[in-house]
Amino acid sequence: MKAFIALFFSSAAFGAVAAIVYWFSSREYAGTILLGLMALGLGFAAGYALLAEREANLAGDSETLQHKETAGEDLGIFTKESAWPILLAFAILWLLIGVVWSPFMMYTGLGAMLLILWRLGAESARV
Amino acid sequence: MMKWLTTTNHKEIGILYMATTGVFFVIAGLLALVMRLQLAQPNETLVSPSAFNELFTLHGTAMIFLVIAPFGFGLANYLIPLQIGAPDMAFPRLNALGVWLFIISGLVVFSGVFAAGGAAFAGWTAFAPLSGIQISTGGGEDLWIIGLLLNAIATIMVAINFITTILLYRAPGMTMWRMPVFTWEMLATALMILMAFPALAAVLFELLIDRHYGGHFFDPANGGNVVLYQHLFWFFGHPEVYVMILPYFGVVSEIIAVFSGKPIFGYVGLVLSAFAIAGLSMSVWAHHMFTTGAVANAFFSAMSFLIAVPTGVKFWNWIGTMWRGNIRLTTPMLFTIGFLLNFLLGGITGVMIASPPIDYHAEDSYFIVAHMHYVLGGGSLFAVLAALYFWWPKFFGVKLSEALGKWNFWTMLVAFNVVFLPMHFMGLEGMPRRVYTYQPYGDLPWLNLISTIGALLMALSVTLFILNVVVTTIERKSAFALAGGPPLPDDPWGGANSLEWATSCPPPEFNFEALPPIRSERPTWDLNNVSS
Repeated sequence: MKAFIALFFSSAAFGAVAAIVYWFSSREYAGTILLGLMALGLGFAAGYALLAEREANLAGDSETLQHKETAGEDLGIFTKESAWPILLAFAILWLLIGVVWSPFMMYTGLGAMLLILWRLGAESARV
Repeated sequence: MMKWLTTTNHKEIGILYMATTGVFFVIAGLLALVMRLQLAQPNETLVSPSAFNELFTLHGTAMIFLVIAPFGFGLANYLIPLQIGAPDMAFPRLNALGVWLFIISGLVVFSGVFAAGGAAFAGWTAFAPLSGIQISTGGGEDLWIIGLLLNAIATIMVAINFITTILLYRAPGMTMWRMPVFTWEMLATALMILMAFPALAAVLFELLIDRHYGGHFFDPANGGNVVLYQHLFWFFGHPEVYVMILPYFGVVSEIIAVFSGKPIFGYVGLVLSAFAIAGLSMSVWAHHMFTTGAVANAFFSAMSFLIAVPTGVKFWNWIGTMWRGNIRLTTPMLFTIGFLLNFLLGGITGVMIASPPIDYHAEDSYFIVAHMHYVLGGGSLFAVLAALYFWWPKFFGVKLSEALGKWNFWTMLVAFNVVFLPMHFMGLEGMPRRVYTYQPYGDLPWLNLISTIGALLMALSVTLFILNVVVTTIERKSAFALAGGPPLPDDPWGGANSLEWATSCPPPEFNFEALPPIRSERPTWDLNNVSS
């Protein structure tokens, strides 16, 4: 985790330096803003990881931990199968087609998306 | 069938990704073959000019968004949990959503063929105003935009899944600095995706707003700016090309170590160079815009030269791994060596065009086409084939035929260079790209003819690979029956390093019956060769 934090902070610092150098060499807004946003985004991710790491006790970060010491640990939900992802994919397609050609499709697509996300949440609660 | 539609298992999703990219590769390859036949001779009339525009648009879009990049995601989907000792990806249903969005995105892009006005024809880059509603009047361009939006959403989800899995689901002892190089390269790839793909989504939405909602983002007559399109697009577009190569740097690193019989040389250098490339790739985008006259050429030229350095570090490390190794020239290793040769040539021409004076001469000519195909075709495609030959036994429990594999390699190496080497000279003689025909000027006729002959040979080579798959699949059932189960040991190649080779071929549902202890970056090697 420390390696991730260091790499993301370094990348954020690089982005910030690049944005500054780019602005003074070009006075161009789009690229400067994009580089600056990149630096902010990476810095945010690294900062969040830094704070989260204080509470985390990841088995993968230990060089000497044995597998049997972590036996029975809850790793979260691993569904074997679910129909909701493919249905959600088609709902998103319906929505985007509606954005271009049909407000009716757009609104029904949005409704379908929300419905499917609600059922996905219910599926997570059941697993 | 229902199992494949509803699966959330990372291995099955990985196979869905890779199989789909195979289908799109064949389609995009046939499109390229038609283009080469049209260009075989000057003033050929096999296809119309507008049809030719649709051909290169769909070919480029498919190869970039539907083949090279997603094959890497599919391979990573299969391998990352295995390589870090996890039972699955962090978000299995998000994973499934990603693969279905990807498959649907490809179908939507190609459905443009049936639209009024035909498929999109503005190139895979879709520069404004060519992609605007005044010129691209039909629905084909809209379908292209929708398809790519779906693809972008899917790719961002993939990146989120990769980062979360790699950070949080590593097995005990699998510290970050013990992860395989392939997993590190995928982490760097995911980082680039998160930075770059939102820019693609933004520019596509802006294009949609300009086309259908009265927007003027890229309309200079109403306060917009066409160069803005290029800035936003290439801010995505350049990291995208590194998204298409970094997974294959990982593939090459894994294969070279196994078939040189040595640990990877310069592990830390390989990891740090991946992140150097990821960071630098975000700051070179306007080297695609030198000839607009609207960008800071010096800044982007300097950064573009700089990005060659970490790539050079990787080459140093790969050669160092092979140096004085016990090299086995298996099919995966042959394709890997082919990658090194081809990518080196493509990289060198890349450094050349990082210089604005050279780029002013070469931009939008066949020299650029040659460069990009050497890095993407000679690089990524060779690595795709290396990966397929190497990991096929892990996926399916049988090895592909080595004899057919070697024929595949040698025909591909020769064919690839026959197609694309002449393109350097075509470009230097002034042949522009994206033209449906040309005049019988200078060496262009015979260079184009040679290139077309090479394309036919490439088609034959691809057919050899398909034949290899068919023959192996037919034999697979009998091989399994004879052996009373999967006929291969966990590590059929011998000398493997990473954790996926410490479980059966193919792996069980949640990957490992029992994990070996992880005390170095070569846990499988330690399991098989170091007495505890």
